[in-house]
Amino acid sequence: MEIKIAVRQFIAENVLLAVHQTTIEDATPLVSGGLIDSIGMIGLVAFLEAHFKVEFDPREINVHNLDTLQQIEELIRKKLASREAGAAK
Amino acid sequence: MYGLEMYGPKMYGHEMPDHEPTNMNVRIASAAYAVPPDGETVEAVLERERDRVRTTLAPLSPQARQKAAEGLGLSRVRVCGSQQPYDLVREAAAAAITDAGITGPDINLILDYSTFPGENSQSLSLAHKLSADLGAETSMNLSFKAGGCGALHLAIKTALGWMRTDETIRTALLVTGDTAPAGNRSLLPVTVQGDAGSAVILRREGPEGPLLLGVEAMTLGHLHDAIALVKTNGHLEIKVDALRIENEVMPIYYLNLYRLVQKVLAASSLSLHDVDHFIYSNISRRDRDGFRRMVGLPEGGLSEGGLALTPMAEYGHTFASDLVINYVHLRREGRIRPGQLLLFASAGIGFMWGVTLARA
Repeated sequence: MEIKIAVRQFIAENVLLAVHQTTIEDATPLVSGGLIDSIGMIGLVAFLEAHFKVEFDPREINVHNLDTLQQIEELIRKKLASREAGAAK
Repeated sequence: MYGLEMYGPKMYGHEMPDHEPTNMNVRIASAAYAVPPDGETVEAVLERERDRVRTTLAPLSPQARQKAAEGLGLSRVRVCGSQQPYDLVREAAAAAITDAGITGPDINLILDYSTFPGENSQSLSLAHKLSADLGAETSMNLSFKAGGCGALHLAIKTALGWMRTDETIRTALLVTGDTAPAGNRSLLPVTVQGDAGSAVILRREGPEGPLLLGVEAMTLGHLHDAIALVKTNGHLEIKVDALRIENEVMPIYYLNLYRLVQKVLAASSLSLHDVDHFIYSNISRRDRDGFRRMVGLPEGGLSEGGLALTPMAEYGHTFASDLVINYVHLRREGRIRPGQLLLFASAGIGFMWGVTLARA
């Protein structure tokens, strides 16, 4: 839940600028819907990597993984879980 | 205002080792290009290739299909008639050699990075044929095919590698000559291709020309077939996977370019504010606009550094020759002054991204 809130807030304030964050639903298509373009991706990916302390493989940055808040949350959760599993070893 | 600069250098993917050029004194001694005299309107190209264009764009949404043909900013393309790309390369190389004040035998290394040297190309390697024709009898010759319009950076990086490991290599000639396979000028939703040849001469301890400060390149092999070359009925065909371009290439297109730009600048303790001229590809007006936004220039800002001077509307997208063409035009217009910082950037099929930094 916290992941989506943070990402929603970042997108609303930095990428979509004037759009109020409540208009971004969990399933709102951000990239394929034209809300975030290729330039917006620069900021979004930088935010995700810095805020959640994760790193993306270039293959992961595509519309299949980052098109909606739901997808973004799933990917971040997977990365965090993988990091925790690695730390526990 | 450089709004994205808060996101500092950060890289991933298949990168090449960095910083090697900074401890060598290598200059861009000269550059030249050649285009064939014959031309064709982009409208005529798209009409002639309408079935191919329709098939390519079919998987896209109606909105994306409409967008594909808008904002190209290309009116005409130059097309090889009786000439071959090699003829253009030879012409450009001769001009670059004269401009650099050298002769053929002075050349120690010839790198040919043509992506589409022509189906009827009779030589095993343009570099070898050029070596013979220019009288560069002792030059090391290498042809490689990679990177499309980003390949200039690969060629520069490769030349620097040779110079670093072989003291005898002091002058390198980098060439590309490209022509679209018959019936394949449209690369929509990306661009429309024109034919050109170009040449760049790099000189170690050269007396003049912009000093290379750094070059960065990265490749991502998993996108090799987003734009692929296939042989159909014995002829080369360019297959553009519009969906993959839309879904997999575009989300990282400027991201990777931006990160390379940041990296090459950071390596020289410089920032985007220090760049005087951005020299970028002529893929389309909307792509140039994307790059302008990426580097944080105001609307029309890239015009100062090249768009107004580039003949992209007349030549179309000429793959890796774009950067050479735009650089030559900047020089011809007397826009490049001593001490100014030049940033060359481009990305191309493969996929690959590249950035080169030089001080005039």
